[in-house]
Amino acid sequence: MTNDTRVRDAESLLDQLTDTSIDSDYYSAHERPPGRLSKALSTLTICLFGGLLATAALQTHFDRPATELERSAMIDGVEARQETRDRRLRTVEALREELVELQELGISQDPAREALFVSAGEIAVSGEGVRVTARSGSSTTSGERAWRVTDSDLQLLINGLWQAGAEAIAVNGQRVIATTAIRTAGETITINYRSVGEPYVVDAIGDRDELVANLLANPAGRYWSERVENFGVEFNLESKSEVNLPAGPSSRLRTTYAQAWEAN
Amino acid sequence: MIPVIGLVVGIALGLIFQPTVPEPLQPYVPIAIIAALDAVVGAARAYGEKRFDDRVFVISFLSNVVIASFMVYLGDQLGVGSQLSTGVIVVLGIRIFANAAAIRRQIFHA
Repeated sequence: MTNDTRVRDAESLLDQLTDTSIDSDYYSAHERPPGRLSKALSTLTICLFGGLLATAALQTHFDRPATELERSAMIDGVEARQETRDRRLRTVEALREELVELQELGISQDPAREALFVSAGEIAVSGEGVRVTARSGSSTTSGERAWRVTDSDLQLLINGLWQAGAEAIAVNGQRVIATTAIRTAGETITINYRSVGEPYVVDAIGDRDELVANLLANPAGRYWSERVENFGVEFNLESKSEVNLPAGPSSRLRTTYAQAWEAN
Repeated sequence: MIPVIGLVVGIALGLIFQPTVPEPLQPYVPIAIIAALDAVVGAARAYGEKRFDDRVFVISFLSNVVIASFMVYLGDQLGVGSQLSTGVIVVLGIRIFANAAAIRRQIFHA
């Protein structure tokens, strides 16, 4: 084993560490040989090292139950807190359900509020009423395209039903609410942004005799009679004892801006 | 031979008397042991190279233990205790490995 490996300049940190791993003093020349005191001291140092090892080993051995205890106590604490958290989450869930129940209870026990929900279209409703079935005529009955049922036809019909005293209206299962748009998109009509196809079934809830009489008499009814006579549009009005209307789509019911109008 | 006897005597005394390390020094015992081990392995390597010197051994032992413990203590006070102790352990570990490798070479080649 030569010494010149130590003299070379080491480039990397690891090389430096391994090259200087032994104390350089061991390699310097000593004038006087080590005396008895030095030997005694080095033996004492070795004893000290042995004692240190033994002490540390014993200490770790005796402390082990205490550290184990601490560790398991901490784990128990963590588990207890997790349990508390889970319990609280369950309470939150239960309270939420209770809240929903109470809200529905509040709705159903207050007729004025219930009426509001009905006219807003937020809840499903059933009762007596009428059913109008409208269908476009065939192209042979007239040269123009006026035989097709358009969005304005439906709008007029629905406005006429409101005028006739309807309390709730739905077209082909789509509840008509304040934000309902009835538009022609290409070849089909969309209501509440959903396409509906023929035949157009308009359900309305209200006093059926009044609805029938009023609708046929008011401008909407007369408009539709003209359409039937002159352009071959099909129109069928029947009164029904049981009409079921679904609630409006919840995405369309969210209001971010509203302005009240005076009722005349 | 004498060092081995000394080591055995030290271990035996430690087991018999079971001295307890005072509380404030307890966290530094592991690092002191590693520093002491570094000095002892270095001494063993020097002994194998016929360059052992008692004075150097005693001084390197004590200075290693004191300096390593002091570095860790300083790190604790500055708030970088774990990082500094990691650095000290890494360096001491590398030195121990290098010395042990040299000893191994002496044993199997010399």
